[in-house]
Amino acid sequence: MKFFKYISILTLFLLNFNFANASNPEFVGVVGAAIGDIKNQNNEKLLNGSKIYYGDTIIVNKQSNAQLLFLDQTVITVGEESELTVDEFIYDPETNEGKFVSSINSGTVKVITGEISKNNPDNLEVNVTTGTIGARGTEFVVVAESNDENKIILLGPGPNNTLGMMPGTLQVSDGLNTIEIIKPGYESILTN
Amino acid sequence: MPQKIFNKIIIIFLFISTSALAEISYREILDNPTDLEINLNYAKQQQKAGNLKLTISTLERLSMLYPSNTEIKLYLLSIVVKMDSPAKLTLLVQSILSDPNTTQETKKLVVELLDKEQKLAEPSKWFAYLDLSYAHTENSNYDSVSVSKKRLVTDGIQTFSTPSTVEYDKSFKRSGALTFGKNISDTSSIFFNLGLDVNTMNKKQAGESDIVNTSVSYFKIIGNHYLTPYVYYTKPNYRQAADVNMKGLGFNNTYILNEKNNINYTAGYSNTEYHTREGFLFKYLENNDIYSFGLKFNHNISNKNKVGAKLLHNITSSLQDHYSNDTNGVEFSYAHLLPIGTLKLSTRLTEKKFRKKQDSVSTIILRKDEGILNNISLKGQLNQLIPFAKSINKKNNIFYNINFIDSHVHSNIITNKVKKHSLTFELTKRLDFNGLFK
Repeated sequence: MKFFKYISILTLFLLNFNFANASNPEFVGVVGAAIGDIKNQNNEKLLNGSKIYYGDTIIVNKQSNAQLLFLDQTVITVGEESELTVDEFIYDPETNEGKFVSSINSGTVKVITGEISKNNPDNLEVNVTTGTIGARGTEFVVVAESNDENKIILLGPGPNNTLGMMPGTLQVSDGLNTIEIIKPGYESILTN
Repeated sequence: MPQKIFNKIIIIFLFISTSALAEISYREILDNPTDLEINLNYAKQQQKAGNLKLTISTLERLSMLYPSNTEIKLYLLSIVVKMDSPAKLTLLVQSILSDPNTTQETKKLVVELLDKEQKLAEPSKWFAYLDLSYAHTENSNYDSVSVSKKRLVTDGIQTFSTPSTVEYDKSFKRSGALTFGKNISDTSSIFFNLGLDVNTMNKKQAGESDIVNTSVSYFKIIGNHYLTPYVYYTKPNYRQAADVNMKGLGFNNTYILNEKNNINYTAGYSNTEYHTREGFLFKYLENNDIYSFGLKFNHNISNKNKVGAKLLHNITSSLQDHYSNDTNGVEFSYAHLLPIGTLKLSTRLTEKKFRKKQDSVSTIILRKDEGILNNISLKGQLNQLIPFAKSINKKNNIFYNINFIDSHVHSNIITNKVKKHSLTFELTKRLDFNGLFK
């Protein structure tokens, strides 16, 4: 009988531990600038400085835009009528290693890559409805035209920049084929 | 309004201030993402530290938060113009010019800044680059020894005198080619090329050479025609073979029918002249003139796949008639764009008919060869093939070429029934000298 009591206490403790974890989700970044009507998946209004948590969906409504700052220095600007979800964010500031997976559900989103993708573009994954984008050391825009078409444009820096910046690359994949974009201004259209 | 003036004062102070400021961490920015003073100082510190991405993202955020602050936009613009990204620059300029907060004075400043940068960035009409290559070739039958290892000499069959004949061998090529030229207009350019190849061989029996080559070519677009006339001169210096001078001229024109199809046609003339020296007293009899013609049809199946079919005809006229011949051929090719480079497969079928019997070989048989040449090549940028090479090949200017050739010649003369194949690995580093002309 005593044995069952212990088991019950242990089970309750473990359940409590899990609940505690669920009620304290990981903070992964902040809203650096919130212009207009920005909400999360719980319909909570996001303001300048609001925290972003693992699993959050950022919804930017009409005539609004937002800049999101993540812990690894990845900066994402979300245009009007756009939606972005943070699917995965693991970051070790000591080693700058980690994994950042996000999904662009609609609209226009600009990404400036941070530390996570510095050494391996596979560690930054941006999912769109028609494929996946990997990036290293660069800035790019994703325009989700529809569920069947996404346009990805590399913004640079270019190889002849005079700022000493390292030119970056984009890897765009539709699941079957992957192409690399290295020249700023070049774009790839992913269709279903 | 007082807030606006206050903001401006802060920015002006920050721009003129050169005093050392306490290092601002990214964590502080996360805690204060909207604070104008902290963020502007942070942008400046990151610029100084070379972390331009953070400077750009900070200034973009401040532009969003303080849209009437034109100094921030101009500061951002002064960085973006140096990014070598017309796409980003266009986006930024459009956003500044279309912003109702932008004053006429600021618009004028933007135009002036762009003009100044454009003049600096304007490419020189002259260009130059040096290609340094290293190639390693393994050849299964360097001296084209017949399949039967026998040869026909005055109607009698003899065995090849080995080991003086080199069959399997490796050769190593180091070459440098300097190309310089001028963009004469938007549709025409002229190129001058000067190259030197140094070839060495594993068995060091024959074939080692230094080859000097020069060429001049001109490129002109006329409507849908992409025309390239050229002249060239090549002077190989063989260690154990007759030296030779080769010169030629020709043209290559591609006519674009539409997005999917184009026709390429070529015509060329070359002259080969052997030098007479000890051991090669009669080599001059092989001096020849060659007239070559090609007609190729290319079809782009998709952005990644291309097929082509080519007809070719060569007329070779030698000083000694029995070396003169006519060659007809057809070539089929397929190219596929892979993530690691461009894969090309081609097959060439040729028929070579000689005009006169060579009595020293056969007084009965007039030589006729039928050849099949298969070629598989994969070429591209080294970073495509080896992703981790990016850390050493930062400018992406090293190219690779892997080339396999398999050749079978069927001939009615036993000497000329030859099979051979070769495999080449080549790396080329391109050094760009365009900066010298600015």
